[in-house]
Amino acid sequence: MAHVSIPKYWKALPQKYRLVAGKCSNCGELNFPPTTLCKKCGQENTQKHIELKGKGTVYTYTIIGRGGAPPEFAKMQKKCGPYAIAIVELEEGLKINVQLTDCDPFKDVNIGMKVSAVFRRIYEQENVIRYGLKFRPIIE
Amino acid sequence: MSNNVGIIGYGTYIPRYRIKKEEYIKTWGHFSGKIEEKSVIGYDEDVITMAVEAGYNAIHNSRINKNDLKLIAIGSVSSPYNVKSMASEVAMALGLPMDILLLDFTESEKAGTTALSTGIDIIENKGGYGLIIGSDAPLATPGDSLEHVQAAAAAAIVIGNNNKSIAEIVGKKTANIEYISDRFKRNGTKMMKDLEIAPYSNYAYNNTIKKTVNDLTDELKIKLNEFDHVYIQGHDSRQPTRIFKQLNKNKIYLDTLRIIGDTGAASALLGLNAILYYKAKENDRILIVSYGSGAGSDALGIKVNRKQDKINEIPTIDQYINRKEYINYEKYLKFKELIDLD
Ligand SMILES: [Zn+2]
Repeated sequence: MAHVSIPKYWKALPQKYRLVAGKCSNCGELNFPPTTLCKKCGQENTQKHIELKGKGTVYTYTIIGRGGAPPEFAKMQKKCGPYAIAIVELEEGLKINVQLTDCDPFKDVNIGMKVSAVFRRIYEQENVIRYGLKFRPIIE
Repeated sequence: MSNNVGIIGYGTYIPRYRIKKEEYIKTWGHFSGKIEEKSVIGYDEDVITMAVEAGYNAIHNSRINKNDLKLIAIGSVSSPYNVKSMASEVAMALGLPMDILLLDFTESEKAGTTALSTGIDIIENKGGYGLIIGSDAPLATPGDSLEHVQAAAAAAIVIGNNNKSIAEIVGKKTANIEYISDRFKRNGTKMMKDLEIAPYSNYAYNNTIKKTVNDLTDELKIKLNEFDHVYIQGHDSRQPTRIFKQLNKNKIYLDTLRIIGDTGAASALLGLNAILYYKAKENDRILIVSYGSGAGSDALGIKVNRKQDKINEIPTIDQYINRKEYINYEKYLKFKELIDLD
């Protein structure tokens, strides 16, 4: 299993739980996750932390079938079948890699579909539940 | 009560999956309980994830600054941990302030109103806002009759000073007549048990609820039929509709119980959310009654000021109710991790 230590996971909680990004006060660039140096202008400690809205559209996606899942997701796949991972283009313009949930990857998913972030169980490690964000079709 | 605290806003979460009672009949030959279908928690969900979504919706519907929240109180009998706060995880996910008071209530299936009642008392003294969440997915052994109706949902409300509220909390009462619990979960076990001694459990249910409701109507100096909408927690719709013979049946609103199922510690707050959304008009009076075996009953009287405004992008209870995907019994067992594939 891909091991992510508790301290490393913990440090990333704001971005994993709420899409906290760093908006550069010098050039306006959104850095996700926040960084010390702005990736556009290179200035140090210029980023104000903001929460992205968690709304976006599917830019592209792929379906992970039997045997294709990383070990931490193998159990979920056994119980629930194939699932989709996607690159989602957020309203703020960033593209991020996500897992989709609450949808049938063969019937419900298409490029351009509107999705929103949801807080879910991702996997368990060291008997601790690791939570984070997935995306699902928006509820209309 | 000094009528200082009211409901600022509310928010709901119901999982996407549903199972019909016919699926149980196919598998077990019968269905125990008077409901039509029920919600089923997804494989990647638990009471913490449901609480996060309901809480997020309630905060946004309330249009408050989340930094003004002074407490978060969660009621559930299905925490994934025995030792570790649910409220702490939810507060982190919602980005709530670090000095917020974290309260977990897990004592019984009335824990949602235990959270609400405690929250009201604290906010009355402390000021600011409180986020109250009932989130539950109770679980029993498949085949046990109590399991047939067990469902999953979360319901949240933000409470705060009454001058901004959509509804006033005009009174609350609790009663703890000590009956030996006939429904419980022992330490180290995953499943709830019910001893299924129907006459005894009806007796405890009826006496406890009648006590809280009578105390409340006495204090408010109103008659039971002067309430416009009533929700009484029950495992299905039978006990709540039978308990008060004098109560006009049209006032009892149990739709969430009939089509979502027994949502444990979320039940009473979900019933409240449904009444506020579907039924409540200005000046209507609402009675909410919870019940938890071995723990008693809470009764709350609420007077409506206005409807909550709809916020785009925040799903309503109606949208969650209508978003559904039916699953069969085998998938149900897999989702609930009742079939081990390892
Ligand atoms: Zn910059």
